[in-house]
Amino acid sequence: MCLAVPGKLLEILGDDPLTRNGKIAFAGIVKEASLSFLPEAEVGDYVLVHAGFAITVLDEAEAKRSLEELNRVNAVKKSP
Amino acid sequence: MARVPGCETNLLAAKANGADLRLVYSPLDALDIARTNPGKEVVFFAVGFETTAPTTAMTVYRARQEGIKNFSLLVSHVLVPPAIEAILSSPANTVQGFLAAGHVCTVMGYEAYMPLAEKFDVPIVVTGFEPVDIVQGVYLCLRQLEEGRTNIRVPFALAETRLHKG
Repeated sequence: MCLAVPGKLLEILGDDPLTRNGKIAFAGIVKEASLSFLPEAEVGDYVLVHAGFAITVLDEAEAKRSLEELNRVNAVKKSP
Repeated sequence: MARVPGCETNLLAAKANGADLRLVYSPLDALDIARTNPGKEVVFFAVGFETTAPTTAMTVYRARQEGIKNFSLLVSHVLVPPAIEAILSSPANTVQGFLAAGHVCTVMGYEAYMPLAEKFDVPIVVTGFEPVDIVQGVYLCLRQLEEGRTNIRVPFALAETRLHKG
């Protein structure tokens, strides 16, 4: 199964919500992807991109929550 | 996909024999090829799970909108839950838990997994692709197995997405 990659939306190209594209920064590279499925996406949003389409908006808080969960895993490991 | 064996040959061998086969990242790239080669019929071999199907649909929408006539599709999309059910139904099955791909659930939700978790008594944890996500998924899966519980676990962000959709 193909992966989906998170990136930051830098710029929105076009006005029509069904055909507009976004310039999205991934680790080290900037690529264009379709924003057809995300009429709500705004510059600065973190989005998940799959097969050239952004499929959902992520937020930075989510990453922090994932890290907190990892810390809890570590806490379990340390406890006797 | 190019190497997957067919009845007689595979796509890569066909390319070696002169067929014009292009590998693309997105169906929109195939539409670009059709746009720039109006004299050729471009066929996009549309494969993939729930996440990929809407991208195929949107590409058809755009082709129609632009009036591109030399673009067609060989559609072969598949669904995740029947594949999981087939694995769990096998007498030789030794899989005790699943990490369900988060981006699939972004498109289809996770309700379709509920009957599977109940019927086969397995934990199914919706998981992202970042290393932290995978570790978290394995942890939640193991915790359920150790506690003798089996149900669907959904990390925070996806659950929120579902709430937003109502």
